[in-house]
Amino acid sequence: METGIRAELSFQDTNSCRVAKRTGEAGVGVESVSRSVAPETGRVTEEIAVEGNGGFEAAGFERVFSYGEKSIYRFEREYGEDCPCETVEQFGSPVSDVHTEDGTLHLAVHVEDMDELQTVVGRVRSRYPDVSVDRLVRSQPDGDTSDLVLVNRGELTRRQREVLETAHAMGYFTHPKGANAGEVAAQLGITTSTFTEHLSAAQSKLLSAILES
Amino acid sequence: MQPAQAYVFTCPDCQEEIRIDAGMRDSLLDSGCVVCGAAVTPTAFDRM
Repeated sequence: METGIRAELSFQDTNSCRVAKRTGEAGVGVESVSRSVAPETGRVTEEIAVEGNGGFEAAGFERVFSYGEKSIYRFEREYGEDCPCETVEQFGSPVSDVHTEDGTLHLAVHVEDMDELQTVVGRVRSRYPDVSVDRLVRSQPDGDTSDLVLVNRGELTRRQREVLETAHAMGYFTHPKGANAGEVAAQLGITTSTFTEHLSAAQSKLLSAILES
Repeated sequence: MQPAQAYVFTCPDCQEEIRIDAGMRDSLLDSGCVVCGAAVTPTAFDRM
């Protein structure tokens, strides 16, 4: 049985994506980006979830909802503008997990096989030479999926996720440890106590999601 | 829980670096680099 492939792509410092461009200017991240197309007008509405301010309203984004430190912004544009997501979707696979960080647009796309993946990557790269293929995962249909749980990473704040990713990358969770709390905190530019607070909060959320399902 | 085996693939031709799992390692060996199409050998993979 042929199995599908998940490809995670990133577009560096792209000016063609308004959301990525804004995050580059503001030095912030956008946790999610979604789009819809109005059938009658063909206009595209993009909606983004942002933690903090980031100056999006001043940049022409309309704030439509807020909860806690997070806000939802929207803007409209014409379909067919220079858009990396639309370029990828020309090949029939919707993009997912779209987010931006410091001017870089990240997205995932799922394809059926290597031929389709090579076609998508080749044609996207011909239009966006700086696109990177960050990660490729082949689905494993024979794996035991009887005990899956859904973990919503959106429950983590951007800072909590950054703390987890940095600690993981530095080997904080391995045995023996690749780095101790002080070293990870120094890498993040925060105190050890702040690091452990973020880490504890993140672990609590993840364990609740895994153990209480 | 045992994590899936992960590798870093570095294309010998275009030098693209990609994080992959074991299933993709086999696919790249069979089909070549997803970016440039160059043939791939086992020396292109480093375990993470």
